[in-house]
Amino acid sequence: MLKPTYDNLRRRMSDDGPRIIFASGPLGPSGNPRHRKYYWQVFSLESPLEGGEFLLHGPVLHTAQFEAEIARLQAGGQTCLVYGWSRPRLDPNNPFDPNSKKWKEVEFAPSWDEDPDPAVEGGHK
Amino acid sequence: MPGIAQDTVETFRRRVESFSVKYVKDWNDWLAADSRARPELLGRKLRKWQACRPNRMRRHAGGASHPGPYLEDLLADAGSHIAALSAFDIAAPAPLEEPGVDAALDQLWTVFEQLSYHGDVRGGLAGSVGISKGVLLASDGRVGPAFDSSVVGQLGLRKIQDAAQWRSALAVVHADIKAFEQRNGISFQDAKPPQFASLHNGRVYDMALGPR
Repeated sequence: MLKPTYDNLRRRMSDDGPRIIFASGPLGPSGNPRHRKYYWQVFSLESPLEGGEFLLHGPVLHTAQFEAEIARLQAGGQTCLVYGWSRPRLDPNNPFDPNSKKWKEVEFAPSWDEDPDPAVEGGHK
Repeated sequence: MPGIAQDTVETFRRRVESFSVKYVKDWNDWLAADSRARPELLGRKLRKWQACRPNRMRRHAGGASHPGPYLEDLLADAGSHIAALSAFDIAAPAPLEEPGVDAALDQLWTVFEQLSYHGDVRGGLAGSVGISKGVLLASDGRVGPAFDSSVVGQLGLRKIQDAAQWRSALAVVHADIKAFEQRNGISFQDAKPPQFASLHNGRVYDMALGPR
């Protein structure tokens, strides 16, 4: 994984314009929005933290925030590194079994209905 | 091991290639069989795989001591729904959103519930393991994987109780495949081991998560 450091970021900046570099995780939310919730961290030169500190303590965004942040950075001509992941949603109507060994260390996201975050186009919150 | 989303192409290929040899042979036998041989073969394979346990499985007409329907009737009933899924590909961009897919899958669930007819569980009917294995065979591997305990456990799924939950589970599989493709920058089709490249994607996914 490409680490979120200012040095790594500077070395990947381009004169052709701002770049969005997906350093780990998906390229965007996908699949059934009721099955999984996506989370994002966006590292730019504006980030006060870098490296492991950023990954541990940097802001974690829901998808609407992620899209807004990307748009803001792009408009400002800033390249960024994106770290994304997802969690299954806790919903008796979705296919995941919270008691399965697979999810032993995993914290489930709230169900889509109970998730207060705004939905983006496609329905992901 | 979990689904394939976190696999490299090399890991995925290794998983597929380490699928139990006896089951690879079973599959080749199925693909090679003509339609007249398939009812008897369907019963033989599903009983060997214990797909409908603990309930009693139906047999083909020539080998049955139970009243109909027989396995040839089930395959005949499934025919039009299998045909409706002739272009189904679990690795396609949005296979479960194609027109007619939901209805065809729901009908196949109803048909293959009849795989078993007597027993203490599920009112004698077949469950998700038998149904999904039956559909996997009848569709020549298009509609897969089969949701046996190995696949369900690796994907962290609830026990599948009805057709809607089965479709939901197939959506999880589809998402897993898409995540794998995105991670590796390669299509599932191109990631398949060359010796299995001609098999339908549902079957190959089944091999990746199935018994060693």
